[in-house]
Amino acid sequence: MLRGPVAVAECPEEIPCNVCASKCPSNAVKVEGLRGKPKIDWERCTGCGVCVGFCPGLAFFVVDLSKSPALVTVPHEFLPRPEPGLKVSLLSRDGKRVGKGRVVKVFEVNKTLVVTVEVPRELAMEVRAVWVD
Amino acid sequence: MCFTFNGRCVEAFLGETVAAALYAAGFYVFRNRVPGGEGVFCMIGKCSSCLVTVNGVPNIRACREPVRKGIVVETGVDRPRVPPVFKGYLPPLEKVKTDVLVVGAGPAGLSAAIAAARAGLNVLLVEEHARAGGQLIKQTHKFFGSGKLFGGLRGFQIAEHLVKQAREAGVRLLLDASAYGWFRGGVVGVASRERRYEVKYKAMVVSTGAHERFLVFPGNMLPGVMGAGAAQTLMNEYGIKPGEKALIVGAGNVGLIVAYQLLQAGVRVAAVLEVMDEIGGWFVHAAKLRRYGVPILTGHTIVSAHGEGKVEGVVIAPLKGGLKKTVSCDLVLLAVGLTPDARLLAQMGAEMRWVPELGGLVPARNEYMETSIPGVYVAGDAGGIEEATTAILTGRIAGLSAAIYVLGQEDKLLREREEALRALESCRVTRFSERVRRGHLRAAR
Repeated sequence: MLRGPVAVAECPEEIPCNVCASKCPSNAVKVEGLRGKPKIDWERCTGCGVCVGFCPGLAFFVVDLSKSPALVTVPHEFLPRPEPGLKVSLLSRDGKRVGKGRVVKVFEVNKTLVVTVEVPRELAMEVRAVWVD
Repeated sequence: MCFTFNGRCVEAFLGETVAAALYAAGFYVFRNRVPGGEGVFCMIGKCSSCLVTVNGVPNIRACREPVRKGIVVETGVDRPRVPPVFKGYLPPLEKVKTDVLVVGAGPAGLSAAIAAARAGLNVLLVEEHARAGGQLIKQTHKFFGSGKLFGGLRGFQIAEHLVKQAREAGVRLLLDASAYGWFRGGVVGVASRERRYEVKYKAMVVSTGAHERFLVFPGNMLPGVMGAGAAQTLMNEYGIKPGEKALIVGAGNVGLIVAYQLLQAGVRVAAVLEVMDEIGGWFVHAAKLRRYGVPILTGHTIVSAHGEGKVEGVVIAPLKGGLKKTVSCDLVLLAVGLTPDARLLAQMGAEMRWVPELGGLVPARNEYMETSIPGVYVAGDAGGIEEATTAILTGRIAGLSAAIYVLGQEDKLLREREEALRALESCRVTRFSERVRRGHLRAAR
């Protein structure tokens, strides 16, 4: 995280699902059997964000603390579509608006937008969604 | 195009149902059975809340009736007269012979039909809706599962895959047709809009799904109180915003997922209520909602709904005492569980058992999904409430069993069925599974 972007999984239950592991282009995510919790090998992970777009539970994020402000990548499935350069609201896990951040990158995986946004370093482990106001 | 409702012109799109078009036009009362009238409840042809009169014919389900130019629709009346048009009129009859008859083209029925057709059998798949895919067609979220199978695909995409596979396998798909009963000589009666069929089969799979549960509270008949799945039909199948502000009862996976889809459709969600002390659905589904600020109130229940002609608000209360609270909303969605719909099997005389773990009355069956009637199988939610992946697998098992019943114990089919049974086992490993497994033991024959 301090060296560069890596994936973070917030998937604490044993769901019979291994989409993350089967879609990771770097082979960095392992799921034991079909039901294990995802384990991420941060040596292999490149922080590409493909898992963020594929995870059916929208439970993957990418955090990059090597930059200032930090970068957080979140899934987004709402209109309007956030475009790079746009300032969006930063939402915490419990839905509080904790600040504003500039969108730096957006790509799409099967209709899920993968949005990378600038986040103050101290909020990098709090912000898990964005909202276009 | 236009049709009339109680004399007023209603604009509609081709492919819409009467219920969808009326709802979009702001008509919420469909039937005058209770004071104030009733609105839609299930939107999938399982309940009787939207019975209207169409061209003089009463008791037509608005949620299944396609709009046509110039049809005359009127609010449904309680206990209507038999219309004169029925006297002496019968649509033409076609006698059909098939190896395997499958009733219901949801994930289970499609999978059963695919398995039987791939075994080389002649398969007729009957579906009462205008589109195949069952409830998958309105599931816009991505599904859990193996990334090698359907995991990661959205529900409607899974439906598209299954329908394509069924067509490629040569399944004869009869849409917009109801299997209404089983008759002497092992014949199933099927009725479409223009034709009657008498279907003679060698083996049969019943995969007729489930319906949403109702909940008892004052005001529950107000238009605007409906099943969570009905709101999904409106917004995800027809692109109609079901309301402006919703309250959801039940924080199981259905309640959580539908709440998220409402946000996507631009509907505000006042809260998701859960009567238990813990959220019933998966953590990740609840976390998705929490990020956008939707309160999930555990230990809370709905006390009543109120409004003039449509719901305008509800009273909610914590179960362990505390103040009641009024919440304004124009939509109340019930996500309080599902009940299997296996009425066709019950009518056929299959042994039925009351199994609470599976959601209610289900047919007794063996591990190959065979009911107490030889050669007749059950698959999917009709045999007990689970989810789409297990429906696909029980469907495959039932379809292979039907093929084995017709063709004999062929090695390849037996092997494929064993594989499907193993896959089913590997899916039943969640914290919901223990209860389901207990249910299956009670339903086993």
